[in-house]
Amino acid sequence: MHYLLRSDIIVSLILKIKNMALTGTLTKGMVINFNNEPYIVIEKEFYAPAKGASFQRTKLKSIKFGKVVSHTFKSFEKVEELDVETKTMQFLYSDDSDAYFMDAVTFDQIAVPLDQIPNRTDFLHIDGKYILLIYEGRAISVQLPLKMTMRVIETGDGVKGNTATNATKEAILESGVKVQVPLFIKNGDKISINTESGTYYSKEN
Amino acid sequence: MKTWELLRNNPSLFDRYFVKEYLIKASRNFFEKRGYHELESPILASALPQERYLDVLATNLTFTDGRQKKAYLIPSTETYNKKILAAGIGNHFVISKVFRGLEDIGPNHSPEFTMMEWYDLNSTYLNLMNDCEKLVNEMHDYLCLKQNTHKTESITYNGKNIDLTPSWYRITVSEVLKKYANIELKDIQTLDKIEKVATQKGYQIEKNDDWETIFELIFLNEVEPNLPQEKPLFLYDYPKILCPLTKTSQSNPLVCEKVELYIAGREIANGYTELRDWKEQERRFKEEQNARKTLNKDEIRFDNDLINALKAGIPPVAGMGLGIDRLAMIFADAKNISDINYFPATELFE
Repeated sequence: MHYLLRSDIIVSLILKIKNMALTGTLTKGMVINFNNEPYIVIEKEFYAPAKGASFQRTKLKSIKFGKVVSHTFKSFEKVEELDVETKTMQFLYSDDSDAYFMDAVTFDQIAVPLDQIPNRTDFLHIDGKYILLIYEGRAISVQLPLKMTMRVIETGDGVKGNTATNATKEAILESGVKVQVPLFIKNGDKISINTESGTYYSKEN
Repeated sequence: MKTWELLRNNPSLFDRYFVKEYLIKASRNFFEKRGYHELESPILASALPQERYLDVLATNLTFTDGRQKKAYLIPSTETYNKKILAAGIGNHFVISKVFRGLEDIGPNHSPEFTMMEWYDLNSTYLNLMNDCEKLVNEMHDYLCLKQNTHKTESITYNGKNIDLTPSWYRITVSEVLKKYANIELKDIQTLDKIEKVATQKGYQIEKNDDWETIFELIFLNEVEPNLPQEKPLFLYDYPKILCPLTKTSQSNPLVCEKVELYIAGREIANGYTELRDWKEQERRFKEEQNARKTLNKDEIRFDNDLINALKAGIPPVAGMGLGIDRLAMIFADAKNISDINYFPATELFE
């Protein structure tokens, strides 16, 4: 049994109270104060040089100006985490510039510029519920789950006798997105999609 | 979809996965022609070199009489290379799986990966650079041959062209520090001085940050992203404090004979003119062992056998380690380490 708490755990607990985070705990979508401006973390990768302490390579996007910067933090650096509200909202539709979401309780609508939706907007499907990040009253990001389940609305039979070389076919999903799927997938099947790579992951039962 | 299912559905993708296999075959041909022996290293070890920040992967071996022994998955083969050098094997190379107990599995990181190391007797880091240039070019030739493509002088990675023709860029660390971070290496020789420079630049420096960490912080933010990428690049003559077990440069006492190879802005290989002084090695290991205690890291069994091998004596030698997975990613134009391995860690531990 360990009766002593590890010092880094104690530090994390203290920081939690002060709304500070250790850079090692940064995650995509977290909003931090960087050079006195709010930035959203869009990428984070752990890096340990052969010798020396570990680091966190990040890409940060300025919420006010939209510009993306790269910065490498030490793993145990402290950064201020800014208060971000999360709201589950229903996707209504999108036009050339924005995606529109609705609060299912108050019917309030909110527009999110398409370039602020990471991954791919063509995975949004009407009436689907998504988590929006709201900072100072503005929607700054929409979180797509890494895997999403969608119904196949149209797919062909696949070309028989050609399975050795090209055993996939195109399928159109309910959001309108097209993906390559294995030949055994039929109209009406539910499949799960990796939203980061935009590829077929598995068939759901 | 698992990788095996993906390949079953789309066999043309195999080409990407064969790259690693071809690189390994080309390396064996390269060293065979030069009369090198191949060492098979243990990957399960009873002791490891002491290194303060190393996160080890350990397990317990249980014997039939009930005794238990700690066993570690090796982070590098280096100690075995040195012991076999003491035995007198001469020039040799090793291709082995090595392990890191990392916190994250990412596009460039996997807890296990393939490392190649080679040791060249009566040689220096300057030779390592020449050999590395030849080796990577031979790998490229072999790949073109196996994949039935015309030999080209450049490859494309992530939309950018990389010219592989010798000779590659060779730049010292003090040159890039000056150029991209506006720092003179001689002005940051103590912890106080580097701390002051970093604080002025706006970095968050804490009491327990050591020189190496602060240097790396500046390097990663200001130097590395700006390194030229049109050709592979050897960065050499590292500050002495970063490589205590490397021979000090004859021309500049502030630096040691260490080289790192960068391709497409990524660290691919690193090499040293090895220090052979057993007393210095033992002193350094003890220092690192104590640092591990202070940092609350798991205790690692001390490798006395390595000290004994160094005491017996190893010949003057330069050694280089090259990350096969990273190089395969570049040749396969793959963004993710899982795109070149049949059974990537992301899939196994998802």
